[in-house]
Amino acid sequence: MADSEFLFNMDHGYLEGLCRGFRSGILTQGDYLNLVQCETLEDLKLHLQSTDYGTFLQNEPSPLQVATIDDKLREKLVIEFQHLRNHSLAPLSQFLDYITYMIDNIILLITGTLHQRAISELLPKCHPLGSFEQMASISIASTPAELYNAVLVDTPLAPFFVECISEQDMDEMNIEIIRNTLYKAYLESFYNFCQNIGGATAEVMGQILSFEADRRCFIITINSFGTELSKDDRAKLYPRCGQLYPDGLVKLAKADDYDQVQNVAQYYGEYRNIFDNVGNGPSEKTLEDRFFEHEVKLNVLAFQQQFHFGVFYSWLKLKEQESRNVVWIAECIAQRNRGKIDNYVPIF
Amino acid sequence: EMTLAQLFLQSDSAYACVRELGELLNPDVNAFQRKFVSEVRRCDELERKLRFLKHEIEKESIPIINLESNFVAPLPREMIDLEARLDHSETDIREINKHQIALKRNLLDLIEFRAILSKANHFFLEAEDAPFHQAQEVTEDDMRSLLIEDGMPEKSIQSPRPMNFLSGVINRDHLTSFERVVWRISRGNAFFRYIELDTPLEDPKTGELIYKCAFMIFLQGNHLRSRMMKICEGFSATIYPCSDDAEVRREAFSQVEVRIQDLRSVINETEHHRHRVLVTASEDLVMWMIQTKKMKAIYHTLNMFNVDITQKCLIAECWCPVQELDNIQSALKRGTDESGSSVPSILNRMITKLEPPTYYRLNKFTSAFQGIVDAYGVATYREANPALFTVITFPFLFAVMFGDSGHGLLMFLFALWLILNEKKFSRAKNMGEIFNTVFGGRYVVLLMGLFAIYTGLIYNDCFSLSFNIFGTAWTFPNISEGFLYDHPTYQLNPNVSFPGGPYPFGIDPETVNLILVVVAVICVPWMLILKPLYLRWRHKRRGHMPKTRKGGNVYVQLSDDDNMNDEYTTYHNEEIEISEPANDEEEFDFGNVMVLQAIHTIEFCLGCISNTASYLRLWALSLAHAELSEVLWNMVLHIGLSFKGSVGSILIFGTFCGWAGLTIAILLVMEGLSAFLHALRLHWVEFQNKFYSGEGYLFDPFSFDKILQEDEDLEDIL
Repeated sequence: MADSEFLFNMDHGYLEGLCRGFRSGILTQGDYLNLVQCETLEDLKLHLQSTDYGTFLQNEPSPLQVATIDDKLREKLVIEFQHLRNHSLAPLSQFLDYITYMIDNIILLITGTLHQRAISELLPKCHPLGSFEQMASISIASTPAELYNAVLVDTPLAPFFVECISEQDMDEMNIEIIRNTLYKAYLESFYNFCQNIGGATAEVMGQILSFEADRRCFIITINSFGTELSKDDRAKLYPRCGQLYPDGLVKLAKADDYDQVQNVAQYYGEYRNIFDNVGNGPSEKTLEDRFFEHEVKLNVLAFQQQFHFGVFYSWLKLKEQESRNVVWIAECIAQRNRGKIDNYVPIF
Repeated sequence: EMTLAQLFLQSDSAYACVRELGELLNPDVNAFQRKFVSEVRRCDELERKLRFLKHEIEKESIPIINLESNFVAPLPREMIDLEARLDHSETDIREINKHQIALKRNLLDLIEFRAILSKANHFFLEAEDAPFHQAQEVTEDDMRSLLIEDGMPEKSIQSPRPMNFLSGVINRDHLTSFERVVWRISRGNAFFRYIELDTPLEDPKTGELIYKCAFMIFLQGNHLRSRMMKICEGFSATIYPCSDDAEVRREAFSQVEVRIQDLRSVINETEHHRHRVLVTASEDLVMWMIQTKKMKAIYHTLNMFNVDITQKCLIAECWCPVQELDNIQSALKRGTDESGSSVPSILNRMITKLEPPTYYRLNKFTSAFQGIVDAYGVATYREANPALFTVITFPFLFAVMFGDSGHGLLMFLFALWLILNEKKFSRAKNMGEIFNTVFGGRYVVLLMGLFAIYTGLIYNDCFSLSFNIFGTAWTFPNISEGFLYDHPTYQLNPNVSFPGGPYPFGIDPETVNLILVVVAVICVPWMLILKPLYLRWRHKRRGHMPKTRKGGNVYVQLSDDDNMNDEYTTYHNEEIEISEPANDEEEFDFGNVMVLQAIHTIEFCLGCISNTASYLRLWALSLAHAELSEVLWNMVLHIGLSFKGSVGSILIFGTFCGWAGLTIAILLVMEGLSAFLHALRLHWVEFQNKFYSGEGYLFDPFSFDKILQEDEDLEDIL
């Protein structure tokens, strides 16, 4: 699809430029060094003012709360993303629609309802990028089939949900299974979509999404130890678009403990590195952090190529990581627990 | 001339001193250290409150009064007062707002309820007519039995009906998906009816208008009802209890009506109160804003100071114009006096090899011309400033290309109008970018117009027509053609054919030409040999000079405090020590200078040849201008003039309009822009590259005026 790259700028050039501009606003190592030295959240605000965030906190009365910072960070990100989405043309618009948070929101709502929380309390916690009109009425559904028939049938998630309908009732375990099945279907569909677009998009997004798929496989396997999830059921949850597919997944499906998972990872260069440097000590990084680091690396690399959609995805993911970092630092400052303040994931 | 100076301020008087400096305009302070972060933060907080007030005031559309904009920055102790006052007004208004929102929410609920009550009749009627009724007609018996089996009260029969229904109000945008979900959840067993409310309702929080719909769902069974309630909650629809008895409804309606009346009057009351509070706030708002901005600027500047070891004084280096030194000293003195500190603040000139910034004292006339030069490059420190020439050459070169006295006159009048209304325009800010550009260059345009009149007179062109103003100076006796050949004096030879010269005004180009060529030729050896030799001579002479001269700078009397005195002296001595080797480092390599000058000379010579061709644009554009205006005259207005009678008068009017419009659009605006552009190029490339390096940087003084002007919060007020 080489000609799609020749014509790329015609439809998407402006947005790509905009996105690259947004990327330049991502905090650098120097900014983090400044942030880490802050004594109070007010200092943090002052420092953030000198970055691309500018005056985003200027109308907040002091004392500042971490939650406010979190909200404002997200608000800014959402505004930027929606600006891109509103100006995009197909297939970019479709691509951007793929990067939303509907699955997370649905799971959050179902879990919340399961625990008897009021819907009005749950709604603000949903990610604004994944909200949809029918969202609020999720609480009436008591079985997945009902959920599908009453609520999800005319949302974009419907095709992914078809596989989950068989489950009988909603408990913690089933919700987890629903979540993972949804993610599996979603990832595979997104992956295929990117491959169909072709060109650099297929290449860049292929790498990122196959890593995402593999990460899910590893984490599902590790989390399944000690639960009543059978190996067959577990194998059904593995997204099949990563590097692990097919041999790795077969081996993972048989794994019984963490060491066996690690053995599977040994066959793959990147994953071996990730698993090799994992520890549980205070100065060592957890597996999750290592995965995040690798994700950040892949996303940063996405900006090395031009004329593809990967930059949009990567920008959003990097920005999310940045929000997590800032919130982490803010939490450390607020709780006066500076020991772990350096555990953020640096981006640039 | 600029000088680097060191500024010593006592901690207690520092604020007052900087305050005085800011009012004055001057020094450009830079250094680091953050001692006043908390104060900056307090200012931020003040700004936030002010923005909140301003927002509220604007929402009420109360005009913000701005009688005078010259408020002196407050003293630090006044800051606390200001904080208290602002805090008071902010909490006041927030309190009122909260109250008001609660009241409005109540009102909204009541209005919605009233709407439901008034629409209910309609719903019930519809419910009777619609599907149930029709079904009844078809298979009445079946229906009846079915309904009874389902435990449904006998709705379709005209018996008293304890109906199961929900009534409420929902946002219009949610309506369709709401209806769909209701249908799906009930599997089609609910009867959904809605009516749009005619008047949009006000959202209590944002004050926006929202369109809502009243709806009613008829359904069966308590289970379904509770699920419907959940859906309503999910779609943030408000459910109101509504009786199916018309009599009860009517009673409720009148009750609600009364309550709405009461609530309205209460809301009006609070609104009045709020308005009063805001009006009081709006009176002082501008003053507060300016004061806060100034304070913030002061603390920002103070943050750039270095704190010395004893924590007692702040030190910074700054650039300041030598001319202003006295002013600065007296400002410092005023600042010290005001703060009541016994130790004076000190401004200390330093010698440095740092390249000083370039600072011009500009007025509104020269600033536009300086802008033309600065866009090319800011002059290196103390370099000859081409803006001086530009003041005349720029409009002149423009006018050579724009030579038409009629067009020039129009342009002149336009610029004159701008200048006469200068005050009005500069106060009204948002006139659009294009207008602001033209307005900024109004004096340039004025001169361009004047010069265009001048060249137009020389060309004898006024709207492409010639005038015989001066009469001909050519003596022309009664002669034949052959006579001309025989007597060359009668040909148009400028030297002989005119008594008293061919140019009644202006300059004789022939002599000027000669002078310029000679100067250009002299420049070559001058640049190639004389300049390097002179540089070498100057360097040698300086090498022999005694070094003692360097310590002799302005030194301000220090305080009586011995301790301090010592400290300052050591600082001072250190400075001298640093500056001495600095000057010696300036190496002089004669070969290098020669090569550099040779390059410059070659560039100059090449430039003289190739740029001459560039100047042809003067001729080309002036020709184009003349041709265009002639075309306009011949093809438009002239045609109109050739008609006679009443038709002619209408045609003349029409063609004149066309001609005038085209003249303004094409000849004045378009041609003016293109001539401007070419004049600009001739200055930047052909003129300035022969002598102007432009590698300096601008002096950026600390000035309240500038800070206030650049602030966006104040933009629409001042």
